[in-house]
Amino acid sequence: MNHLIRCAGGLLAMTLALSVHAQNSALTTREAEIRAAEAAAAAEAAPKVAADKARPRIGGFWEPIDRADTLRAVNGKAIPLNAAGKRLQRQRQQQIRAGKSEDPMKVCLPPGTPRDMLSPGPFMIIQTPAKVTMLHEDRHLIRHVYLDGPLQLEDPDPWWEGHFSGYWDGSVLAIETAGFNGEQWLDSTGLPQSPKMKVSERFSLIDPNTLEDVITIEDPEFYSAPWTARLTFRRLPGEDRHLVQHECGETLLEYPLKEYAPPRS
Amino acid sequence: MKRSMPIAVCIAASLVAPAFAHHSFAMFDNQKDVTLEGTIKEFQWTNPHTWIQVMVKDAAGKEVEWSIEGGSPNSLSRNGWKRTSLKPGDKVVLVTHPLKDGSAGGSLVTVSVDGKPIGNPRR
Amino acid sequence: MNRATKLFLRASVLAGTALIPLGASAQRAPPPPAQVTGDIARRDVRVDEGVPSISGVWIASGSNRSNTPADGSSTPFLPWAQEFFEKRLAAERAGSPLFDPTANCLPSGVPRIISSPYPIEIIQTPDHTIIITETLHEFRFIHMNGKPKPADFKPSYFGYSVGHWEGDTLVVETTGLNGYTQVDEEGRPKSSDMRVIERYQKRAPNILDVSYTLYDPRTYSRPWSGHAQFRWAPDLRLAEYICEENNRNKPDASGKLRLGVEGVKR
Repeated sequence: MNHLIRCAGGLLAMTLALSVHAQNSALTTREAEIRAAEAAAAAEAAPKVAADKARPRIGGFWEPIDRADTLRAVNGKAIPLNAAGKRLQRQRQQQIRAGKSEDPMKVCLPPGTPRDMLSPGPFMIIQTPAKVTMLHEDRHLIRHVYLDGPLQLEDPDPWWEGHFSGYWDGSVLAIETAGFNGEQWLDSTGLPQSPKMKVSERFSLIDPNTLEDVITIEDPEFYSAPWTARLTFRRLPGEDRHLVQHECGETLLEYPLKEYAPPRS
Repeated sequence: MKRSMPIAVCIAASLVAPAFAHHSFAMFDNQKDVTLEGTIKEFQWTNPHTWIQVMVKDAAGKEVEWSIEGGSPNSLSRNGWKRTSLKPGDKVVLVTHPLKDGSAGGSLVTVSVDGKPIGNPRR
Repeated sequence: MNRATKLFLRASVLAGTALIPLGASAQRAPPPPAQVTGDIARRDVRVDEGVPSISGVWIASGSNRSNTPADGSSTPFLPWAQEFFEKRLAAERAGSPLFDPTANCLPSGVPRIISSPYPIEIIQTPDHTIIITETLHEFRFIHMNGKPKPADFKPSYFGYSVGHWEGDTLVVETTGLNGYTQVDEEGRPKSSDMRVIERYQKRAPNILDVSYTLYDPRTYSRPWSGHAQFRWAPDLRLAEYICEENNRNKPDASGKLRLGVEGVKR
């Protein structure tokens, strides 16, 4: 079927290219070649584009409804920390109380996944047929989620944010993440994570202006069972907005920033 | 002033050309190559630079830890490197542009394990 | 397979083989060329079909070590800028480069970021053209519907950009830049008055050309233009880049770079 579509696409591209050439003989070879290539690529991508047009639109700007920077298990359940997990969280909270917090975010390390979704916002979701991208104002964080299907990793480099893979399950966007370095906290209470952690998120529109992110965390190193948290976001009006990148690095300077040019005379 | 550089240094120098270059490699003597033979203590596969911690015996036979600064894992991994390319205990031959101030450090030119160089030299 | 498709595929394969193999940035083998979806799948489906397609991953061909006038003329420095540039080069030659915010994991800003030799990703939406950099995971917003810069806009590393298409050329104007960063790594400075006009145009299906003109009468005696070029990189994906994780060269309180050997036991 794909082959037929490509053939049809190729024929279409050829026809377009020829007709364009006939219409405007002043078109340069460069322009004609580029247009023909774009037309061929568009034909090839057409099925993916059609599929995405039929999906819910989650693109746009969002902010958290509940501004808590902590995760809570759904239905008021206790987070199932095991003994090692409880010990580590307690140790971190003691450090915080003593004014010696070792929260990696304090030295501008990124929050990772899913702690990035606890950022104060706003953030932008860009929905395309091949990929979903999330841009956060806070620390200019970025999630690159290729729609490759369920996550399949082979010896991934341990990352702060992990490695993402996503797919649409009806009107729900599933994002799976693993391959963490385990050094980050899950939230500001010091909830631990390890390199074994797997995060599964399901994003869906409750209504056109409300987005929910149901997060399931599985980490046998620190939790005796998988557990689920839920975050909700409200859409900010208008899609023609601007995001400002907040540079955490400016809080860690030992030598001050200086304008290079002398002041205006 | 014209100076002809050995080809190997040219190729290798482009291997570690400061790509993102958040700072220049000015602290290193880029005209000098120092060859070190030693054992890997640690390979830090990190940004903004990878670091090779290598134990090298000095002239007196004492072990000295050298810190060799390499490119970002992002660009190295696109040049045939992996985070597992060097492991603690690996016996290596390393060529470095040493720190101008004489400390036990330098920028990475080439490194070989068992005679096999790691990574592809750039065109 | 028709000639147009053949041309496109050949260009893609050429671009692909000219690049080095995919490494740790994607933990699966790249899809075979037959599955390349092209630019359209990498942009918001609501973007008008007539808009030229530049969405996807590109990689610069050069570097931003030395951004010089593309016409071969010498950089038209004002006296303070000439002195600044020479001092920077001299300090570099002496082995102790002068302070630059990029050594603190802060962005290199516009125009220095333009020719940074790391992958970028362009994503087109109905209201924006967004340029994402792998280094420091930064994003530039180019407003495509003339949304004006807010009156209270705080000068920033990337400033505020508005863009429009002139035929098949994307023209971008950027103002609101802060004065903390250089035009290139060598040491051409800029002031917060700098205005940058970039023109992006495909030279070939897989080559994106950018020419940028710098207007900064506080730094340069006349406007001047530089040039950079990008190759379409369908097999590359932007990988994580966390500068803060091991910055052993972080400048100290005197602005001097640490050598990275401090604290290492002999």
